[in-house]
Amino acid sequence: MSPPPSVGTLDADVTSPQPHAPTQRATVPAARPRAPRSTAWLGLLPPLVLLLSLEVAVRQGWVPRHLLPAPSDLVETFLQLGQATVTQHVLVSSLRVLAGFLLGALLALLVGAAVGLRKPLEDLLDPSFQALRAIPSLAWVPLLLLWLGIDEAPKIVLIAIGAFFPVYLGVSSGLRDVDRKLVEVARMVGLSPLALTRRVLLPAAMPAVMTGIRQGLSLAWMFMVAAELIAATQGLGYLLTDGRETGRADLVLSAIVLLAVLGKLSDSLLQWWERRLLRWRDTFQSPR
Amino acid sequence: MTALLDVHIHTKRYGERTVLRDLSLSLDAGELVSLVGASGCGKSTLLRLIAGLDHDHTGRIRLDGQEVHGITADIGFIFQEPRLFPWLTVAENVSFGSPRSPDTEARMAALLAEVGLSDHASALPKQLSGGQAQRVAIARGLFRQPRLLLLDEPFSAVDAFTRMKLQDLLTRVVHEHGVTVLMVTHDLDEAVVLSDRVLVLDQQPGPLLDTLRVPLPHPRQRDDDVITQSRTALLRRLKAAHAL
Repeated sequence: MSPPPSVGTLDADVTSPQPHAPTQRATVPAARPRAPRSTAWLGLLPPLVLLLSLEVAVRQGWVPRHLLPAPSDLVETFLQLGQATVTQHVLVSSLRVLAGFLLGALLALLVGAAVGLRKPLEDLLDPSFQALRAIPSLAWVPLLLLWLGIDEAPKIVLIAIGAFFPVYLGVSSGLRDVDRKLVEVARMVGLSPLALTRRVLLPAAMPAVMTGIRQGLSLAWMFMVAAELIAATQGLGYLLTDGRETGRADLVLSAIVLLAVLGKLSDSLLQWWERRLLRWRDTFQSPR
Repeated sequence: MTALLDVHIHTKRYGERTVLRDLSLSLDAGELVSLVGASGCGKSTLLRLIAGLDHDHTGRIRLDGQEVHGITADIGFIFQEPRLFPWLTVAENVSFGSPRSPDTEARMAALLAEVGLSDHASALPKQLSGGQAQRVAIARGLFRQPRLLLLDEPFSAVDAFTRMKLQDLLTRVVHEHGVTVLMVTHDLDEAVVLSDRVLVLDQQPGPLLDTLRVPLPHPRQRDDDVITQSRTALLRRLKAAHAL
């Protein structure tokens, strides 16, 4: 209302506490180191502690060795199997996952985009996909064996089914939920529908798409095991069956450890890619 | 002289509810006009109709004598929020929607310099403060060289000091570019300091309640007596209209 007097008092208020302000400011950065030390190594702690206590428990005879072998026994098992055999099993399984995942994810990208961009298509297809999604992986196995035999085809199709649904959900929901406000900005500059999709809808949907892709890959690993448990002569799922049939817990555990490591590695790879791709995201990064 | 913008909205409905009825207004070229009124009286709806973001109404909207159908490069819009694309740099946001060329690059650089953000051309929106982001939005609004610029409460989300700076910036660039401005605001000071005319919209759908002229050339001083008097006059008229 009456700026001159209020501005005057404001000035006085601003200047009076100034002697304190610089000292306060100086202490804050000093108390908090500029580059906080990474705490990522903490993630190694739980597995290491677990392995160590297992080793001790087995050596002390607290748990029967034939049911729960010590970590050192697992190393021995790996050596016994030989590098070539282990590599072979890992390679076969990884290739199956890769093929099935690529097949499922690519199909899901196409179908998900169509459903996410066109409401009639969503109404047409989405309910059926939601129903198919609810089918457990093992329920597909007998059908795929009947239809496709026991070669590679049923395994890869099963893995593709596993990868399909998370990616489909990510793409379709990501495109459907794009912020109306950003779309309006694009409309104001007269973007064509195609340019709108390419320059606004797709980038805006990327975070959801990437989440779907990561979930799809982890489901692909799970479905791979389901596929290999049934009919396989090679691969990590085969190793699991073989271990059970011959009563060798060390073999089963070796396969489980390999699955954990491979799953983690492939997800870390995707996570790295996601971070690069979505560098623009304004995520919560304050010190916790 | 014909008006640059000539609007007559016969009716605008959202379902059963009538938001605007028999509303006429016109803006001369180079004018800076504010639109005030109670919340929910249809101010933002009116802007969206003029911008072409919403076609669902009966009435006519003319720009320089030509009927406006849908979105046109002649009309720019600055929203309440900056609405920058988070995956694009500041420079890409300003020139969004235009093909890259030496001409657009030069125009983009000039606009960024005008809003004082030349150093931030390659920054991402997440690195900007609220005031900086809104300055980018102003630059983007002017990039396509519109003849009419619509602003929907553009400075309502920033602090008071930033708001005054942004208001000064807006008046400066608007006069430099010779753009006509229609701005919706809740801030009576803002309306009086910035505008040549303040239009008061009724709470009930209907014609404009009142028009207040602020007879003071730009650039203005906020502590000018005319500003203070105009603000008081506007306040009284709004009270009389039961808008407050």
